[in-house]
Order: sequence, then structure tokens, then C-alpha cells
Amino acid sequence: MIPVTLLVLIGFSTASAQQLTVSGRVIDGNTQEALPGVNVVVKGTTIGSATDANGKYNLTVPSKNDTLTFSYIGYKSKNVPIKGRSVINISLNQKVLQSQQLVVVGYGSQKKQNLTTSISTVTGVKAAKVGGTNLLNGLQGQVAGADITQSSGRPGSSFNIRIRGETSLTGSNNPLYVVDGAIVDNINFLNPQSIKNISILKSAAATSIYGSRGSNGVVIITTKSGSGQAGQLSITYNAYVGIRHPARMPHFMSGPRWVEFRQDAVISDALASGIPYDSTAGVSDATSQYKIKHSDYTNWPDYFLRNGSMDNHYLTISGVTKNSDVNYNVGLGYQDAQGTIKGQAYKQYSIKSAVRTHITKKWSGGANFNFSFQNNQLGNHHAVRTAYRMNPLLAPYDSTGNLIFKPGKFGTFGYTSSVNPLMDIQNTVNNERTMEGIGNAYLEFDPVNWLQLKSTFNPEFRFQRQGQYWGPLTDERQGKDAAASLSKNERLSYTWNNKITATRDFGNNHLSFMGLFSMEYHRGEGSNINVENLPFNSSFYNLGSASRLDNVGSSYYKTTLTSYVFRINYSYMNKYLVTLTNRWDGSSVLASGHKWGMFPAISLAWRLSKEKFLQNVNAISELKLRGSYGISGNNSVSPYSTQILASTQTLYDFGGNVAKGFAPSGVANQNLTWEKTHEYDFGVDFGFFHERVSGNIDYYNKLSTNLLLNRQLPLESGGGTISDNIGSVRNKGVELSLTTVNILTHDFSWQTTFTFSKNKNSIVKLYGNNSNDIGNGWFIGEPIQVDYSYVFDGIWQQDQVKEAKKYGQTPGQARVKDLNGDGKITSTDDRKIIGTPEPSWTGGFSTDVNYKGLELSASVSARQGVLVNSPFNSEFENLNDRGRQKLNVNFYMPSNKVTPTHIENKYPEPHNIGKYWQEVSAYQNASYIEINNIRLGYTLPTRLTKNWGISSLGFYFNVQNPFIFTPYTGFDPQYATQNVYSGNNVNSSVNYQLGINLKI
Amino acid sequence: MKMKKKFILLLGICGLFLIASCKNFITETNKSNINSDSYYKTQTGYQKLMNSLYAQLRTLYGQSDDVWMYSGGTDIFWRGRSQPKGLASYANLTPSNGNVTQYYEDSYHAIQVANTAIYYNSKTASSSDLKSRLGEAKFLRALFYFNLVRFYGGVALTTNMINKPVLDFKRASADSVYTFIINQMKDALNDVPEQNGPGRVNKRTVRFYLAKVYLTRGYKKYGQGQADFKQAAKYADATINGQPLNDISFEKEWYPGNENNPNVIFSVQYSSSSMIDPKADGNDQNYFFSPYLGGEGATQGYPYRSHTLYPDPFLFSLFTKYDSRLESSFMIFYYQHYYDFYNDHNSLDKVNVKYYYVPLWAENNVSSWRQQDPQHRDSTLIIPEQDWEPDYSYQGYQGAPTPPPVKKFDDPNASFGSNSSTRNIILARLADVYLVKAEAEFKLGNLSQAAQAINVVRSRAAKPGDVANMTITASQVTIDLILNERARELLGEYHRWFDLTRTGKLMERDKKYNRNIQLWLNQGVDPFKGNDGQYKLLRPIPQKAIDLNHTTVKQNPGY
Repeated sequence: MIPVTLLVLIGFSTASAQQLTVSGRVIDGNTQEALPGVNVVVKGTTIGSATDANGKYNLTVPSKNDTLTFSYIGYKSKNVPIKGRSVINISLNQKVLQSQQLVVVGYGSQKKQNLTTSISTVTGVKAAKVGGTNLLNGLQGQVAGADITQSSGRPGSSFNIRIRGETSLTGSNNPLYVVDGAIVDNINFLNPQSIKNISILKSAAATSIYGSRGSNGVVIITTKSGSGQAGQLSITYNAYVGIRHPARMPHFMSGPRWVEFRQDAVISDALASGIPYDSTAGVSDATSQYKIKHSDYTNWPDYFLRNGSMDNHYLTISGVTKNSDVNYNVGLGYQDAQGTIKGQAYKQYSIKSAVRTHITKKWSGGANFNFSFQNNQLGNHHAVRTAYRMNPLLAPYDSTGNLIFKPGKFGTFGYTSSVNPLMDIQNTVNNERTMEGIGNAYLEFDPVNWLQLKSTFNPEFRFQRQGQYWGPLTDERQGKDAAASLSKNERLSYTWNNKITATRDFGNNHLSFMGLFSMEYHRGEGSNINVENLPFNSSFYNLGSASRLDNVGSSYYKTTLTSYVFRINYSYMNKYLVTLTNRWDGSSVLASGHKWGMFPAISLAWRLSKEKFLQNVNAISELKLRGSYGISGNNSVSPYSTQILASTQTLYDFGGNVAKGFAPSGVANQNLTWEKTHEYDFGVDFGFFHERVSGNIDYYNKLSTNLLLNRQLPLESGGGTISDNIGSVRNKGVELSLTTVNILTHDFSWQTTFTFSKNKNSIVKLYGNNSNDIGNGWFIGEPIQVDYSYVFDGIWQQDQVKEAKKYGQTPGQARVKDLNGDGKITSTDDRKIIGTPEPSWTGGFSTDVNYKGLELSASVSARQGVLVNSPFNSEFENLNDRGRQKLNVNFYMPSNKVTPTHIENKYPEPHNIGKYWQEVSAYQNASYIEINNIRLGYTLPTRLTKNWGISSLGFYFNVQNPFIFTPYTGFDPQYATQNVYSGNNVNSSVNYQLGINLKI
Repeated sequence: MKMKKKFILLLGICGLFLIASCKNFITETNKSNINSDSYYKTQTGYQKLMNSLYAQLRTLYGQSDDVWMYSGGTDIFWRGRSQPKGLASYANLTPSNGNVTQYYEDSYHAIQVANTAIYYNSKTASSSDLKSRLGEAKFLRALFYFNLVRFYGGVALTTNMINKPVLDFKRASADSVYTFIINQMKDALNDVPEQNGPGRVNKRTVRFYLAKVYLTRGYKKYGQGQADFKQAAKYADATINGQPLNDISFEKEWYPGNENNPNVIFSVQYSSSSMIDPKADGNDQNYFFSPYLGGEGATQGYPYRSHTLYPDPFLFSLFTKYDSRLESSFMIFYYQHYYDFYNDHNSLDKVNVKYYYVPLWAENNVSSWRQQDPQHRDSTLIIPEQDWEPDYSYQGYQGAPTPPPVKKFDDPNASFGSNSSTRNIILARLADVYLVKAEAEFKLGNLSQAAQAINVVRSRAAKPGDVANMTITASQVTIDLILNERARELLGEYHRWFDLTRTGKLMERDKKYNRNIQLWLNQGVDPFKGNDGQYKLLRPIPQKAIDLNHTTVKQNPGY
């Protein structure tokens, strides 16, 4: 841009004598907004100008028979013959397929048209549109090959992402996150509004540049930096306020229904043992009787749930100094989310700053940092579980409106001793504060125009403090003096990259080379302390005042990595493209002799659309065939796992003399080596009908060998688990991404995007001898994660007494299939794989309709073929328990003289569930289709706002997660596998937001 | 130009730094933990390793899983409200039972620690106690195997330290496991001293366990019958070594604070100072053998009880009015607050009696008992023996918990919660030695010597003046009498399942006395009978062990 501006100035001064001027205004054909900075050049000359902030231009031309060329980055250029006019107003339209767009790849960027590997990109704007507090929320369903699910119902909850299936069970299958060049282990600390773009590297040929950490895919995030015209300053403010409304509550039992269940559970015992019972069975105490008589039931969720909130404010100031040698961007963000459960809240403050500058002609440098502070009130997860468990006979308040300490012991009740969850929530503090910062500083030297040397230093830190306090009136303390705990963790990392880049053209040959030397360092420390019996409420701020010190601990780890990397890009006539990369990684976590690994890749592409025979086919604007093969790795090995440590602390004494002991940590695996993923990828990138239809299709087949898995050892060897390279796993699948511009007129446009991916995961080899490992649940030819279980076969009925007895069961109990038909149920012969928690396919859909300033958009994601082991169902369908709330299910109940008889075949008899029910009832179909958001927006016309000095102003209304279609009966299928005790597996919510986008 | 020079200089410095730091950059350093090999070769390190070996006893005796394994499904305890059904009544006992699995896993983990201690014994810095430590480790490993072979039958013998993954383990025959145990214990007897400080294995400990091992093997087909019983009697005698039992009364032997009394031969050591979390690091012995007493004990002065392993009517029926052990083992008089019994022990006449669990023979004396102290006894709730029913609905007898709780393991200093007892778990004591001696003599046909040994135990247990009423004669001695005596003397001490299986009386007595078992029989199901028609007289080999083992493992009969 800068040279163009200079040229414009020169052109202006030389042509002024001839007094032939043309002026006018350039606007965006879609939004009708003024376009500042559009280049207006007389075709075939260097004479030109640029539009001002209001889109206006004024140009002196040599002749009124000339043609003007209007061009602007991201827009289609237009040639307009002057034809003697002196005023020419035009509109420019955005390019649909931005094949010229730069895509961020590992350690650099490339034009999209020149990509030879499988990389998906999403702009920050699009990701922020969904309105989540987490960036990944905006990518759900929008990236073919990326399976993204929410991890909990908490405010500020994180998301899980799996790229092209699972390859390993050790540590995580999380991709590598690279934020502005720094390697981080999560991206929760980023405000979605601060993001410029996201690149998702999927195939091994794309990720092998990250070597030993590439096999789960790489997500590269670039945050916003300064941009615009010289001397220009822009201020933007993006914000929304919203409420979170508890939604889709599972169907729990009503009061009367629960009483019936309770009675059934007691009567079923009485029936079996011939003990007498009467109509008060199970609820014989006076308080229960009184409550039943007066229909005095409690719907507990009414008391601990509330409408939460979620607000996000983001202010950016960015621009370029007058003499265009400094670009800057400063962003300030604030997010606030109140959970739908009392006591849960999340706040995030962030600040970012980016500066880059030319120091001399050949030297330039810059610095960039993102800092965030998060304050997370985690609430009381124990109380949340208790609250959901409370049965409808129990009430939180007594008749005078005071909270009851133990509702289950109120009056003559003989139920649970659990503390009132409302009291428990009130008297507990669980607060996590996190400070996190990443940054980079670089120095670049360009001795000649084809050579670039760059040294970048990326520091990263995180300080996390968690403080907990339990007052006397909590479940934890049961009336005793208060207790508290405090833990602190810090992490300090840096990466230092030294890079050389050379780019040269030789005739039709284009060649570029990138070489890199990188050093990476991560170090962590932690400490914790627990105390009991605090004399007064000092929360966790005066642990020294406690009379009992329970526990003190501290920890340390350090890991390092050294790498050498090169990449060569070669293209011939911009038609035939080849990329070669290799990375050598040396890691501290592996034993000596195994420390180094090599990760090469090759990728090829052929742009058919550039061939003569297609060049004149108008329908095809882009057609590229890609093929690649690469090796990437996974070294998610915990530090020190190749060493046996004396680290298992034990407690003992001899006659009261304390004798602490240190047992060995277990068996270590000195031979641990790199897990390697070998991946073929074939893809097509296409654009048809002037890019009205565009997208790509990929087929991949990857084999992960030397699989790193935490493997349980035979119990006879002392048990425990080791990290081991135990076999290989194949993931193969297809991905499709299709964007169509269905309507595109001056005022009206409609664009839709579909994504679809199908991945098949299967274990190819285990332990080299191809045997299944039932103990760990691994089977050759089956996915890494399978549901291996008995097969539910209904309920033993009254007329099947004899048959049931053969299996040691009685009517009313859950029956499982005798798979091998030998007349007995054994764990070896009668269990089988009944499904997998890995989806058979995932997909998504998004749509954007724009009419003048109005915008209507929506996004949808789908995950199908998911069978999970659901802790929710094993808790709330556990009909063996008879004191807690239950899902309202139709259970079996034989005839008796008190309650109605239910002949059912799906749920067993209360308190007579049989030995298989708990296992089989936990498996639930958690497939879903979710509408992620629907958003309606309006941008005011520029001609109106410009009078107020505002370049754009828009408002929108957004609904998050309005609908979800699922057979799952628990809270939310996205986090169905979460523990119900963790406070993560709780009710889901629908969020309503009102937002504003303002730019000055 | 000046600036450019500066940059070049800067870059040069960076380059130097790069070369300098690269060398050892990827060497692994660990500041928080020590490599086991170098540590165990030091004197301190080896001592810590030995401590961690003893700590395995806490794992194997201190947790709920363990208690159910040792006591569940026997003639004297019923299943409680929340106890796993499998171990209580066999019918639902499957190889995937969590308690069975946990015990197996913990045992082999303990064995590995023992193997490590034995391995490093010859490699560590020399010190005067190394020989004893070797013997202690060998003894403890043998003890772990002794429990394993009794629970599971023949099991894999791992005798070397494993520091690399080993995947195949063959089950050894029970016979060879016993041979191994006996050889190891004999080695240990040679290595450990006569006195070895509190809590440590000494010669006496080893002698007694040798007696028990021989006694147990004597019953087996592959055992050596009379020769084994002779050895058992011999080692029992050597353990007794002339020590009388009645130096300390039964009541006193179990009163809190007397855990290291002279009758104790071996125990798992606990103290509040050697626990970090008072609600989790103690043991569970005080948590069982009782109804649930409520959830407010922390403020109301009563212990946290599990509602499992209820003492059953058969157990209560074993006590006569001459026997002090009913009152000494159970909280027959439940004072205003449960712990008043300990807190006001010397002024109990000034405390209200809340409940009185009246044995059958005393029912007629209740009114005179009240009249002795109307002030403290008028409001006492009397709970007659026929109402000492298990309490499945927390309602009890007119709101009082039933049956009466076992008190011999009470720890008034325990934090309210499970795994909280700070008292030692007594594994071996003199009374047991006398009864082992009696059983061995009985099996050898020496009935009078058997009676004599039993009478040592019974005469101590007699109430004042009732010694004669408690004395038995040689002709009365039967295996059932011995088992009944063991029930009275040793209830809750983690011997019962072993006692019944050793003597081959498990099925017979369970079917006769255990109501959980009878419930099955009433429905026409023999709960001991497995799918294969064989009886479940051993615990199953855990499915997890079978699945993880790369050698094909044969399951025990009945599973």
C-alpha cells in the first residue's frame, strides 16, 4: 500500500497542469458503506489516487477517453471507461473466493491458491459471530474434520477439539495451539474479539512442520494487529450483553411420582423377603405423611438455578503513524458470565498490544503481547450434585423461612444426612484466578529483497491460584470449625525461533526456502496447603490462624525441545506445486538414545484451472488437485516417565514414631519413543461459476505407529500404568466443505456453508502380536474408544421366574443377552462392543442472508452415532437407591396391595435392579444436532452515520443454543461423559444476547 | 550505520548464546523427586523404602474393601444396608467384583514393594540392621502371599523386583505357594531379632504366623496333615513361651490407648501424628460391625458407622451370662452420648443411660436395674434381644439403632468420617495363639491339651466368680466349639472368613446361621453354587487380572 500511495502523490503533481479531473465515490456493493483506501489508477499508466475516509476520490487524468481501474484488497477490481464523464460513482463487490488471500501456515504464510496441503481457515469475525466466551465455540460445525464439543455447562467453560479422529490415549488428543507463534496448552484466555484469523492444519504434510507435536493437528491463531492507511486511526467497539437461561432440564420425578417410587423400593424388598408392609411403607414417619397429605413437595432446581448472564466488551484502537513506519493495535476486553447455578461466575479481563516498525530500510522489528486475567468462581460442585439428588419431600426452608441444615433429618425424616445445598453453596468459596500472558518480540533483517532473516522470542507465562473455603455449615465441615485450602501454580515458557527465508523466481520457476532453528522451554512449579479449624472467617487469606495443618505440597517440572526445520516450496508456472518439509526434534522427556525424531513430508498440487484446456472454461474458476504424504508425531509423554522415582509417599509409624516412606513410582519405560503418524491426503480445491460455488474435498488415511498409550500392566506385576508404544491406529475419512453464494445482487446476498466429515478409527495392531486387550478395552479393528458391555435385553417378567432363576435372577431385574447361548452369563463370553463414543460423522451448516443493512445468520452443528457411558444416567437411573431424586422413568413393579402395578420391559424394579442394570443403563445415545446460534443484525446506512463521525454502526440480537435435537436424556449430550460430581455435568442453557458493533 | 552495527552486534551475542546453551538443553532435570535406584542405595533411602513396605499393611487391612473381604459372607455378620451384596452372600459374587479386584491389586503392589526392598537389601549402604530388614521384608511378603493363597487359591508367584513391563504370569499351584511361604518365613525367623522395637516384625511374630500357616495347610489335600498340625502346635507353644493370658483383662486389652499391650504380637500401626488427612488416612476397623448411628457425630459425640457387617443373632446367642465379652465387645449400655463411655469413664454413674440392649438372660432384671439409679435410668430405652434386628430403613427400634454396635474398636479420638481410626489394627495376639494351639492339638487328637488351651482363653473371659461356669472339658471340644470360641474372642478381628474356610465349615455354618444366605435358600437357590455347578469356596480371580494377563488364566471353581 505504501508505495502505491507514493505513486499516487507523484501522479497527482505531474498531471495537475492539464486540468482534466474525474471525481466520485466508491462504496461497498453489499453494505453500501464507503470504501476508504481504494486505488484508482488510469489504466496503463502510473497515474492514480486513493479514496479518502468517505470513499471519495479526485483524480486528474490525461484524457477523458481513458479507462479507470478501481482496485481494493479483498474486492473484485473494476475497469470503467471514463467516456467523457467527470463524476463516476461505483460500487465494488467483495471477492467470493479469495484465492489470493494469505493463509497462515506453520512459520509463515502462503497464498491460498498455492497451498498444497489440507488447511482450513476461519476469520476471527466469523468465529466471534456465534457469541461464545470461547473462540472454539464459534468454530463448532464450521471446520470439516474438526470435532468440537463443549466440556461443561459452566460459565466460561472450555471446549474440546479433535482433528481427524483420535490417535492416542495418552495425555490429550488436543491439537497443538500456536498463538502468535507461542505454543500454549489452551486458548481459553483469548477474547474471541481479539482474533484476526484461525488456521487449522489437518494433514500430516501440513503439521509435520511442527514435528513431534503435529499429529493431533495444529490450530494457529493470529491476533489482530495494526492496519490501515498511513496516518489513520480507527477505534472499534464490539460488545454484547445477554442472559443465560437454564434450559432443557431432564425429566425428573414429580413429588407424588417420587413417593410412589420410594414406596415401591421398600415394598419390593418386603415382597422378596415376606416381611409385612402397609400403605405407609417407606414414608411411615410423621413428617413424610404430613407432607404427602398436604401435597407439600419441593422442586429443588427452582431454588438453586437462576438466570445467569454473559457480557462481552471489546475496544480496539489501531492504526498506522503518519509516516507509516509504525503499525499499532491496542485492544481491551472484558467478559463477564454468571452461571445458571448459584455460586458459579466467570470474569475475564484482557489487554493486547501489537506494534511493528521499520527501523531502517533493511531492519524491522516488532512486539506483541496478549495478557489476560481470569477470575473464576467455581461454585460448590458437591452441593450441585446434592441439590440434584434431593428428593421432592425434602424442603430447603423451615416454616419460619430459615434454611434447614440437614433437610433429610428434618422433623421425623430419616433420609440423607447431606447438608442443605443452598446453605452449602452460601458457605463455600472456590475461586480460581489466572493470569496469563503470551508475547513475542522479533527482529528482522532483509539484506536483499529475496532474503529475510528473523529472530523471534516468544515468552509465555501463567500464574494460577485456587483458593477454597468451607464454613462450618457445609457438607465438608458438618458443623465443625471452618477449613480452607490454597494452591498456586506457575508456568513459564519460551520459544526462540531463528528463521531464514529466501524466495526467488527463475523464469517460470518459483522457489522459496525456509530454515528454522528453534529452542523451546517449559517450566512449572506448584504449591498447595490445606488447613482445618479456622477460628474466624478469613476465607483462605489467613491460613496461619488455623489450629490444624493438614497438607503441604510443592512440585516442579521442566521440559525442553530443540528443533531444526526446513521447508522448500517450488512451483512451475504457478501450475505445478511441490512442498518439501522436514523437522528434527530433540526432546528432554525421552530417555537418551531415543531423544531425537525426524518428521518429513512432501506435498504436490496441480492447478488444473491454469491449464490451457480449462483456462477458457468460464464455469471453472479454480480447480486444484492436491496429494501429500507426511509424518508427524506425538510426544505427549509426562516428564520423568522414563525414570523410576522414589516418589510414592506412604504413611506409617512405629509405636507412634512417624515413619514416612517413599515407595517406587512403579515401572518405567526406558524405551519410550516417538509416536509417529504417517498420513496420505488427497484433496480437491474448487471454485465454479465465478466462485459462486467453492470448497474442497479431502480423503485422508493416516496410520499412527508406536502409539503412545497409558497402558495398565498386569496386576501381578504390581499393577499401575506405564506410557508405552503399544501398537498402531488407523484413522481414515473424508471431509467436505462447500460454500455457495445462492443469491448475490446489489442489495441482497445469501451465502451458505456446509461441512461434513466422517472418520473411521480402528486399532490395527497391539503389542505386535495382534491380540485384543480386553482389560484396557482395546480390540483389533475397532476404535480406540469402544463401549464394551453386556447387551440389555429387557426385564425379567413375573411369568419368567423359572428361567430367571437359571441365571440367578428374579423377576423385575434387568436381563442381559446370553450371547453365546450357553445358559449362563459370563463376563468373558457375554460382553461385546455395543458402540463407540466416537461419532460416525460430524457436520455443520451456516447461513448468512444480507439485505441492505439487515443480516440474518445461523449456524448448526451435528454429531451422530455417539454412544457414551453416561454418569448422569447411572446416577439418576440408579433404581437401587431409594432416597434420591430420579429421572421419571417407567419402571417395573409387581402387583402389591399399596401401589399400582407396572409391567414394563425397559426399567427394572426399584431396589431390585439385578446385577447388570448399573452397567447397561449407563450407555446412552448422545448424538445430536444443535442450532448453535441464530442472529439478526442491522447496520445503519453509512450516509446516516457519517454525519455523526461514525464510519459504521450496527446492532444485533443473537440466540445461542436455542435448539438441540437429541435422544439423550441427561443434561447436554455435548458433555455427557463428564462426571456428575465435577460440577461440569449440569443443566445447559439458552443464551440471549443484544450486541453492538461500532467503528469510528 | 551506527544502528546497524548495534544490531549486528546484538545478533552476534544471540548467536553465541545459542551455541552455548544448546549442549545440555534437552537433558532431563528433576528438582522435585529423586531417582529410586540412587536413593534406595543410601541408608536413609533404604529406610524409607522399608517404611513404605510396612505402610502396605495399612492398605491391605485399613480399607473398606479389605474388611468386607475378611469378614463378609460369614456366619456371624450379615450384610448391612450399603454393603456390596457379592461378598455378603456369594450368589452375586462375580470376577468383576470391585472389592475382590482391589484386594488382589493392592496385594501384588505390596509384594512389589517387598521385592524391591529385598532387591536393594544387598545393594544398599551397609548398616547393622540390614539382616533384620531382609527378614522383615521376607516375612511381610510371605504374609501377603498367605492372604492371597487363602482368598484366591494358587496365585502367580512374583519374587523378583519388576522394573520393566512383564506381561505373562502363570498361576502357581496352591501347594507351591505354601511351600514358598513356609521357606520364606523360616528364613525370616533366622534373620529377625527376638525384640525389634514396637510395630516391627520380630521372631515371635514369625513363629506365630508359621503356626498359622502350618495349621491352615494341615487341612489341605496337598498338605502334610498331622505333620503340619504338629508344626503348628510346636510354633504356637514357642510363641506362647509360657506367657499367661490374664495379665490384662479382655476389657482392658481393647480399651483405647492399650494398643501396644504385652498380649499383642503383631499389629498395623496407626497414630494421629502419622496421618495427614484425619478423615482418610486412618483405618476403617471402627467403622464397621454396627448400624448407622447418624450423620451428626462430629457435634453429637458418636462415631461414624457404616451400616454394614451387622453382628447377627447367632453371634449374640453364643454369649452366656457368665461371659464378660458381650459387654466388653458391644456397647450394651449406650450412654447419653456414645462417647460418654470413654470421656466419663470414671464417673459413668453420673451419666444418663440412653439405651440398654438387654440380653435374653437379663430381661427379667430390668426393673431392678432401673431402681438402682432412677435418676439416670428412668428414661432409658430398653431394647430386648429379640429386637436386635438389622436396620435397613434407619428406623431401628423406636428410633434406637439396632443391633448394638461393636465397641472394641472404638476410637474416641477419631475424626468423624470413614477411614479415620487412629488405633492400631491388631492382627495377632496371645488369645489367638492359644486358640491356634487348641485347634492344632484337637486335630492331633490331644483333646485335653486342646481343652486346656481353650480354658486359658475362657477363664480370662469369665465374669468375676464364674471361672468354673466357663470351664470346658476335653470331651466337649469339637471344631464347632473352637469356631464358636474364636467368634466370641476374636469377632471383627479379620479372621472369620479364613477360620471358616480353613476348617471347611464355611458353607455349612453360613447356611445354618446367616440370614442373607437363608434368603437365597428359601427361594430355592444355593448361593454358593456357581454357573458351572461348583461351589464358590474361594474368591474369584479378578476379571481385570485375567484380562490384563497375557497368559491364559483358569478361573476358580464356581465363577
